[in-house]
Amino acid sequence: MIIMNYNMLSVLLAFIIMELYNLRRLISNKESIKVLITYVVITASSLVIGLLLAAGRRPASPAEWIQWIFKMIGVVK
Amino acid sequence: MFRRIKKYLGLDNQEKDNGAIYTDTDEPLPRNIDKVKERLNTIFSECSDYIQRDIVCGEDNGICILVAYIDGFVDKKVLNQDVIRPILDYFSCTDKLHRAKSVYQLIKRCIISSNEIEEAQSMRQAVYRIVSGDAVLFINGSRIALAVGVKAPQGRQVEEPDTEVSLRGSREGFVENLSTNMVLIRKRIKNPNLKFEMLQLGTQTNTDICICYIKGIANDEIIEEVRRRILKIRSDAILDTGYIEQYITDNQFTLFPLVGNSEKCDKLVSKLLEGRIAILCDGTPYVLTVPSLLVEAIQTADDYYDHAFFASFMRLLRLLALFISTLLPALYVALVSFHHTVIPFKLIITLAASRQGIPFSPFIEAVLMIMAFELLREAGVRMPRTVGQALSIVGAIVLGEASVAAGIASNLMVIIVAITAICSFITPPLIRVTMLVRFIFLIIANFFGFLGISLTAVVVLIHLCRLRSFGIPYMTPFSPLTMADLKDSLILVPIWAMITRPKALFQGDTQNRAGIKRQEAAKISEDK
Amino acid sequence: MEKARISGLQLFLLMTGFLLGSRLIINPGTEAKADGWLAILISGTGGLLLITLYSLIVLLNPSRTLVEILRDRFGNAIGSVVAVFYIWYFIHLASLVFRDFGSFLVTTTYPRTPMEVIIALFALSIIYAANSGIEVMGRISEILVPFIPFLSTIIGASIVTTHDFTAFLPVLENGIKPVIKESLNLLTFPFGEAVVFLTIFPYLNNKRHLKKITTLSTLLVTVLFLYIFFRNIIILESHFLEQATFVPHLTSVLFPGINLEPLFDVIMIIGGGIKITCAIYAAVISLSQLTGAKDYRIFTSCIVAFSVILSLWIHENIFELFSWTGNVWAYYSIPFQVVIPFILLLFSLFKKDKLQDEE
Repeated sequence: MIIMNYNMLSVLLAFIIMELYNLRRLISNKESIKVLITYVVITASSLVIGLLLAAGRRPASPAEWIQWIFKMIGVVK
Repeated sequence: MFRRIKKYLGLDNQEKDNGAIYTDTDEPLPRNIDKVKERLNTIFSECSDYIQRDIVCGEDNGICILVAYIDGFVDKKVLNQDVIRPILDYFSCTDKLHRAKSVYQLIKRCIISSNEIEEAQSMRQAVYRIVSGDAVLFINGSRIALAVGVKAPQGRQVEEPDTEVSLRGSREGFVENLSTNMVLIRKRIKNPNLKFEMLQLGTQTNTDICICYIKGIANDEIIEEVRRRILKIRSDAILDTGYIEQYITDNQFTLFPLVGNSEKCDKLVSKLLEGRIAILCDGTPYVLTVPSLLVEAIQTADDYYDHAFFASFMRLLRLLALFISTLLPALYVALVSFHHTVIPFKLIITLAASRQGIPFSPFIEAVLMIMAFELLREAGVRMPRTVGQALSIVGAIVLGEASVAAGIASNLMVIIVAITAICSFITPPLIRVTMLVRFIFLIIANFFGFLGISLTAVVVLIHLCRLRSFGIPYMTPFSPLTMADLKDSLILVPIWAMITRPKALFQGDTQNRAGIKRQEAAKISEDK
Repeated sequence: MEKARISGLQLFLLMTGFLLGSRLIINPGTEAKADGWLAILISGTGGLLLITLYSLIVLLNPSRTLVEILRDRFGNAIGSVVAVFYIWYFIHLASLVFRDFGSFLVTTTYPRTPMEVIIALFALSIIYAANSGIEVMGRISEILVPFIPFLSTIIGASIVTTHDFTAFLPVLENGIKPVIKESLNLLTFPFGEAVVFLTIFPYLNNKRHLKKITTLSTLLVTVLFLYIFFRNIIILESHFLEQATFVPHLTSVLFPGINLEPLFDVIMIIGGGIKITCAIYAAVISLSQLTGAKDYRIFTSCIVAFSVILSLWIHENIFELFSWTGNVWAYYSIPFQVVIPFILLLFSLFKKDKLQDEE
């Protein structure tokens, strides 16, 4: 049983509504495929991460990746 | 079947309806007077106020003239004296008739003693002249009709406007009659550079609209923009400048007024002299001014007549009032429901005591009281003035005292709503804006406290910075900061120190010339 | 590129607001303890050099924004890759500031409101601001930014009553090392972050004043940092300074007679809002130029949503956030803030000479 964080979910919902509304404008503006793909990728990734966060399963974050890389190089102890 | 569909789609143009409904077609005037009469009778069928009179005179009754007018609209005495009698007198002595000239030229140049004569070349123009209050003369054998201005004075006298009261300065307000209004403006600016551009709007009402500006002071680009927007209006009726306002405003989705209006002559004239453009409309005393900026909400005509120190102080007070009227209830709700720590300790005790026994949350309490006040205000506007006293008693005693006694609202809440109400009346142009914005703030404050209030305030500010009125940023002179224009914003400098005109209203080259001219004029007058 | 133009004053205030930004809630120069003023001075000098570097790049590539400059100088392929990294950096920056403010509000004034909601509220107003365009952003900063020095002066003046004015002595008690480390931190946060302005400088209406404006703004910010630092250390003394998390907030609570927390919130919203808006705007403009979108506004909401999610994702808790910004951020930022701009400047100088030779 996954305990969902409802605040997070409502925030996500608000953003999704806004982005779907925006997507309509994007299509009616006849933007290029490149723009559309970028838009969808960013939106989808934030949706996926948001859902994982709401479910309380936080994946390793970019900050940790960066720290790990620096540790590998030896800049940070 | 197909024809019906075609008709429905508006494709069927062949069927011209010449019957009861008059449509604007540019048909020429018939030469024969009988045909004219027949046509006019079909156009004005069932118009009981339409009157036509035949004049038959001259040698062998050779001259037939038809006088057409609307009953009550024209001054009958003037019509008789200046038009009908001279014609009858002239042609009764047949030997005076010049055969060389046409009857039309004769009547136009020599006979009619009225000073306002215009030619109507087509049926459309003639009909328009009749319905706008002129007497139109159709002469047998002529393709041109004569429109004689014999309009009877209509409407009320010039009086002091109720909506804008000032302590000093002129008490004259505009009236419903367009020409009277134009005279009121011209009386104050005796200068041929004051221009009045007339045009007609509304396919049904044919209302006279007048764009008024001072050439050389007003920005030509803005004038062109005003003209363009007004000509774009497609409406069948213009009953008030309010209609025009909604058509020409820059942004339809804003609460803030992007077009100013005024009923006071001296105020309007000062706006014209600052380089604004006025739009007058027949049938309403409210005159529009564009561009309109936020700072105008805290300016009043009195400021300029009074000493600059007092005026500056009053302006700061008005700004404070603007903030209070929008934010005070929201701040109260936020304080009471979230931020007890901010309230001084002694006050919090009295506050808690006064809120004891009140069943509602501060938010509900505030909404109830503000709604009661708004209802009271609306009732005060709509009802006859004689009942007003009864209303104020109801408002003061029942809503103020009794609601506290009955335990519906706390004392402090009553005070807060009262202060808010007083403050909202101080800046009349924004009175409806603050009413709505107050509710928005109240709702946000109830959920998110001070954070919500400050974020919403920032959003309102962004909105204000986005707005433009005829290309001029709404927040000028504060943002974009126009140093030269700050002299007439929160702090007012004395009138002799206002050497330059508002810079923000100009964008083209004309600006500096006008400004410099004014500066030069000031210098010359100083030298003298 | 938008057709809008901003005036010198607007850019000056926008930049000042940006640089003050989140350093208004996190004390400048904490790690160096009583020697923080030295760190502020060193980093201010370094910041001046960096920001002059950025303005030189813009002056050498007139009316081009970051992506266009990168593509021009590095070639289309490498330039685009570097641009993608920059966009990521801007989004990361925005999300860090989001997180700073979220944590700040949750720990101080709004302990019962969930952080997601606070950040989302922030985000909504920022979408509106960024969608309004650079011109409107300039105008807002013209009204709001002057409040920051004004309010912090009021707060400072009213709490400095009976306190130890020698708190910052002795000088260099712990040696030079922490000072250097803190200087590096301050240099990369906030001065080096002005790399965001590579996308905003091109909108200045009068390029001749660019260097003057940036210099003045950096100097003002340094002076304000010094003022805040001295205020805090005089009131709280150094050992208390390093224990507290949000030091400026603590000092404002000490305001006599009345609780000034809400006033402080206002300063913070102004600084943080401008900082996030600039970062988001830079990311959105760069992304739209990279993909060739007709209208940059279509990306605003999705970028803001992404950085909100990122801000919640990126650190588990506030301690991790602070240790990361203290230890990693400086090294992570150096390529973006120093190395690439420096290479860009060299390329611009070199290629300009070449172009002139050809002519």
